[in-house]
Amino acid sequence: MRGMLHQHGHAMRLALQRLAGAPLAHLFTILVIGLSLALPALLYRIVTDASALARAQTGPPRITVFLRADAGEATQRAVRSALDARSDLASVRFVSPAEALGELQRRSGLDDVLAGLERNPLPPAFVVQPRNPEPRQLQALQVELKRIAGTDLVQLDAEWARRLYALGAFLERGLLLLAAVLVAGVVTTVVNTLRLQILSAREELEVCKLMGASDAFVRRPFLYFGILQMLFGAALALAAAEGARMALNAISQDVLASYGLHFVLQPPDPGELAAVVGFAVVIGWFSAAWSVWMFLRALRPR
Amino acid sequence: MSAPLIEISGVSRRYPDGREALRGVNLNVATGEMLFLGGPSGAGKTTLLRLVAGIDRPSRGSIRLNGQELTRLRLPALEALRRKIGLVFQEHRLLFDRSVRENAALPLRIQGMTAPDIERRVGAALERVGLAARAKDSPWSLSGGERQRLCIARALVGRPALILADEPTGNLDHEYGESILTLFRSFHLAGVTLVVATHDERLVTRLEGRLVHMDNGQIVRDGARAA
Ligand SMILES: Nc1ncnc2c1ncn2[C@@H]1O[C@H](COP(=O)(O)OP(=O)(O)O)[C@@H](O)[C@H]1O
Ligand SMILES: [Mg+2]
Repeated sequence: MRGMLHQHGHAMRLALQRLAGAPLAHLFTILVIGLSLALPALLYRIVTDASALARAQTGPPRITVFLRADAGEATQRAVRSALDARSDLASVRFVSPAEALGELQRRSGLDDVLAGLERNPLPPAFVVQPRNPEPRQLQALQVELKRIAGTDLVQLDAEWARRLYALGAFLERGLLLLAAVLVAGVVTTVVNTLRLQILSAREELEVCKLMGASDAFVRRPFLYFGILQMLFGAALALAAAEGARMALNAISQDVLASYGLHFVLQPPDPGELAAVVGFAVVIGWFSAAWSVWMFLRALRPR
Repeated sequence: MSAPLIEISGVSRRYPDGREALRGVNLNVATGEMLFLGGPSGAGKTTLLRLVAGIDRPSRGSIRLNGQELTRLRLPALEALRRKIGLVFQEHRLLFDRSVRENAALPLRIQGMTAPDIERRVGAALERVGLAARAKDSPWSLSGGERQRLCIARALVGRPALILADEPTGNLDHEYGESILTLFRSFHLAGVTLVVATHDERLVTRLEGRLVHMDNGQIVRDGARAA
């Protein structure tokens, strides 16, 4: 057990020695890693905060289910229970013709015209709130609601909210793609520096293997090296993203505030920090394990 | 007579390029024996030592170490076995970016020994080969003979019961070569089993121990002294 700890301590020391051995070269690698990770981290923050803002501005999507103008109490009750029975609706609210007329009068300013009507022309309606805001789901729901007996027109509110949703989904996908490209670049960089490290330690690896060192033993310093390099890169990425976030917030206060918009990019939450660090460790470990494995495979006797 | 420590029977080794480095070699080495493998360059001495150390595998035949059949062992088991053997490589294989001390410590690090134990053992091993004063130096600063001694310190630091040494006297002049053989003799007297390959049989004629002469991948003389 103590021997095991000692081996890990030794491997860690070797890894640090390697990093310190060529500080400039490794600083450059860490810069590349850091900036490649900072960009998706920052974009992620912008997209999530912007969609949150958009959602807050538009409110959740609503569907208005109009009944036929001649629908009586019985029809209203039937439709109501049909709506209540659905699990995909978050809320169901009844709007009576009188209530709707009052609303219209308030909003339109056509008090006189409307007051002159001898009969309320507005139909009774239900305003429902779907649980799933995804546009295709909403459309399917709209069709289903139309099939309920006694309903007339089923209208999806806030078309522009749907467009915003679609735009958000598009941005998220684009971000994912961009992140994938940048991460591939990071992995390539890390694997490449590790390959160079392994090449420069080639003699050491070979001698250790000759003297009966296990694969785990020779891999260990490189695992630490890969993980350390990625952790430094991730720390740099977080610092860069944080700097950019504060700069953007300062700008948005100047620019957006004059349009009455209050948009502040939030700092990363603990879960996101843990995700970045975990990701760095996994990529560093994986790149190192793979590089060493490739090297050891070539050493096997034939 | 007790079972031999090393039993080599019918061993051949054909390299991928088709060259037959060993052809039907039979050889037993008893525990505690000091055996010299002689023969010209290219005779197959290095190949045979590599097979016994489990670094390479025979194309045909069987090698038993302590009764254990090496050809049936998988790589990790072979490596575990090798950690218990003291190895001196023909091409030294020292690490020039580490100190003399770290070079000698390598087998112990591989075994996972703790720092204080390593310190003690390495100090004793360097003392034994007369390099204690050079512990902190780089192998670069060592002479040819001192480098050979460092290789020997690295081979004995793990206190192995078996040492396989490939040309440990290298191209050293006679005097230096003899001082190294004196070192091996002291291991022999301490009960260590030794197999030492050398192309310079004149060096070993004055020592006790068995001389096996190889040529062209075969053993051509066993026990007889070179002229
Ligand atoms: N890895 C190898 N691939 C091909 N041929 C080899 C290899 N190693 C050694 N040989 C050949 O096998 C023969 C025996 O070599 P070796 O065992 O090194 O002899 P020695 O140690 O007695 O000089 C030589 O002809 C050598 O060229
Ligand atoms: Mg040789």
